[in-house]
Amino acid sequence: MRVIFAFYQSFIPITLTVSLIGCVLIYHYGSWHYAIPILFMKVFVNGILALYTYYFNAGQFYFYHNLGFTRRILLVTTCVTDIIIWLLMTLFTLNVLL
Amino acid sequence: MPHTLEFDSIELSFDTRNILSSIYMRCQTGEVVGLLGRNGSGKSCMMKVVFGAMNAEHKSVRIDGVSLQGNYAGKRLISYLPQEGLIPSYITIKKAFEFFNITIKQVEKDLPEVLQFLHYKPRELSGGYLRLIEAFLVLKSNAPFCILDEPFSGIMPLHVERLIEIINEEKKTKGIIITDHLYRHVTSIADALYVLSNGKLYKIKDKEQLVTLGYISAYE
Repeated sequence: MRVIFAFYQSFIPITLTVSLIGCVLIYHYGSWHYAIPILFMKVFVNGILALYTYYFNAGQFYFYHNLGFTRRILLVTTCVTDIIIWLLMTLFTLNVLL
Repeated sequence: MPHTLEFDSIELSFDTRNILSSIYMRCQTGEVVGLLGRNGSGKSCMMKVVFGAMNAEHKSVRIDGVSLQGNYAGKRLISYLPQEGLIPSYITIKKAFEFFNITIKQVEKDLPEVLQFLHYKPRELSGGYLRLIEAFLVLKSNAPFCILDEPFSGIMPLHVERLIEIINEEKKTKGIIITDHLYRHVTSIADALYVLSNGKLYKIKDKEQLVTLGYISAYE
């Protein structure tokens, strides 16, 4: 898991910003409906980040490959982890509202 | 008992250009195999294919006669130093050592002057030190086979000597495949030597063959 989080580090500034914007919108307007467009936004941003890393920052994959993680495993696991973190943040925000 | 890494039938082409054709190489633990070849001859591609980071039209990679199928990265049997740098920009040297299960004691014993850089990130280091650390990481990893693509690149002579010592220490338990254009260093440590030329691999028996295959001039 620490290898996945090390790789996730490079995405955190952007993905966390999108997640936080989603939470702020939900909190500000007091509606869970904002979670749906934010989910689409997250999938889109994660896709762009994955493509960027795949094509323009591919050198780092050798490091992780040496540790037993292929680029496909890394990208899929990181995107899933990010969605889970966003979901937890959204649930927490909704909990605060209620 | 020594372990054996073998690969053959590697076929790789880009569009209509044939890069690798019917390659066969064998490396045992306890030996260093040198790979030479002109720029663009396909050395790095061959290493990436064997490591499993690049797809080829066909390949057969075996360790102790057992074929490595599909995604074998998880088995961590082969470690690889790429030509273009290994450690991601956001990871400190200390973290990189931790990921490769290398203790600070080991670093202190083998590369004491690197200790001062433990909290540095790759971009804060000189190219030579970074290359030395990256080669060290791969050589000290737990994998029984190491593939080194230009490990001496940018390293000062004193550190080249140290790196050669580390390679010789590690070869006691590992099989090492090495390529570098500082071919005298390669030939000095290699137990077997190959040249990749026109997509084919030739086992070298004497220096004249290097001239014949167009790797060095007759005046070298």
